Amino acid sequence: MNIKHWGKDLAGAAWLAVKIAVILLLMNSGRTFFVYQNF
Amino acid sequence: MFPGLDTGLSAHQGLFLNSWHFFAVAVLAVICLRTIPVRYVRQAALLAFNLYFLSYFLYGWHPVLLLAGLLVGTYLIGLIKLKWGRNWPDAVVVSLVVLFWIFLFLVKDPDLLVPANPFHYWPVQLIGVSYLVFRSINYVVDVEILENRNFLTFVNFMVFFPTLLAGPIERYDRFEEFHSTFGYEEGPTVLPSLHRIANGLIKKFVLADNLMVFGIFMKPDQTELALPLVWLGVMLQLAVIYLDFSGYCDIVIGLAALMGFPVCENFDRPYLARNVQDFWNRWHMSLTGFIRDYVFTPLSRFVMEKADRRRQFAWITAVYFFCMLLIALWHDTTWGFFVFGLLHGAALVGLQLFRKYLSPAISRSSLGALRDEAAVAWIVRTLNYAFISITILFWYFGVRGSLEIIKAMVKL
Amino acid sequence: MLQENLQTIFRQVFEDDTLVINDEMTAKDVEKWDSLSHITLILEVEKFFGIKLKNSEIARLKRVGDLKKLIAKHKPDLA
Repeated sequence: MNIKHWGKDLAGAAWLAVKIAVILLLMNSGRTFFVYQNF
Repeated sequence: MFPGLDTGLSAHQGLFLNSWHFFAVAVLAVICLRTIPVRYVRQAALLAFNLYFLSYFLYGWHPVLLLAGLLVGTYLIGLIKLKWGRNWPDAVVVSLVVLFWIFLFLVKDPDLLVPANPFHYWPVQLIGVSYLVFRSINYVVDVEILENRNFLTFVNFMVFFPTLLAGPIERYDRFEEFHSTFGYEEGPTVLPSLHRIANGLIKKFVLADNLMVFGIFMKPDQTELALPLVWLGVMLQLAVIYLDFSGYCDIVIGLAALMGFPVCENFDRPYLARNVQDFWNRWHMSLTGFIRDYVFTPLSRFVMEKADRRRQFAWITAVYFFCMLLIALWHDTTWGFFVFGLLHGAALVGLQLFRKYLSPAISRSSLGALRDEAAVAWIVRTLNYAFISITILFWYFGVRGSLEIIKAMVKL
Repeated sequence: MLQENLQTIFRQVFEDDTLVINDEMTAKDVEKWDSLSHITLILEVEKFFGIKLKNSEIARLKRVGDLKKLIAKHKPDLA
């Protein structure tokens, strides 16, 4: 039971790490579009 | 109108959500709000974070003064209403709300109603002012039934940094509940919230910011493109705006959840919308909800009570139309947005008429069976998506420019 | 009494004689329940029970149970 829980958390954390890698690699900091920002 | 596009925010201004600076502030805020044991200290810490974040968007004394005026003024009106407002006729509260709306339009557009507009002589730009005014209206209208109406809670509600820039538009009673209790939902919520933030960062900074060059807004000259590419650019533009805005909301909702404030949702798969009404129930839902609760409902009630039975349908249709125009102009006071409002308003009116007159007839006829077909649902959704995409053109290109693109889309 | 009267009003407003209301019911559960029929519902409730609901109170209604509580609050002798 417990191991299953840890397994899920670990998988979730690993998946999060993949997302973070994607963000760091592909994020375009040059332009911030942001239409709904009210100034 | 699109400060990000012009990179009008310099390096010293603005705290970008994808910066290490913001990341550090967010981490610190989450740690503080989850570990400080004394409630008042936590609330004061939140205030510190809110003001720190704000400081990066206030370019001088003028916006500071305006913000201070709005905060103090709103709070004072609340106090006055509590003390003496018991016997005020509805007209007084309505006038207050109208005044807030007038203030919003005058400050956002200094060239509006020029001789009378004080902001023409004193132009000020205040970050998130459209959202600030909504929170003010929420506070003033509901003040009698709100709890924990102290100034600290009020200020933290008004300038809560995760939702300061562009919402979601949270209500005072929900905010103050968590501001007082800092309750965290049972069970593991950290990992899902982190995923939510990551999803938002991907939608906004990976997908939207990279795809935006293919959207019609960025095309130098649409008329020279092949027809399918013009259509693609138009359809893609709505998707880019969706990814951008909903991505920002994901980041903000995830962060607020980690901080102990479950902020309301703003999107519910708007690409599945079957018509304009369904669209606004799935897109910028906190805006729709606000207009529904603070404009549509009071106005409709008034109309239904006073109007002659036979005219009620016509009056309510007018109220729908008016609300749509208000939503459009709230975004920006340009002719482009006005036409956007007219188009959505007309679509809403059309929908009402369809439901009242055509729909029952269709259900009874042989076509009625078609309504349950999945294929029909998908065709309707696609048509609606195309309609919305075309109306969005008016946000950026104004009336003339949008008509040029529409002409190019039908190869005129 | 409150439950029965409210159910009658619901059946009238949503034009469905078979409608059965319960405390957990929301607008999503009834097909014809949109912003407009919501207003009609509120007006009929106000008229029937002889009460006046504030806009801020209406904005907070999420389920039928909330509406019942609100009516009872304005007319304590009914609850």
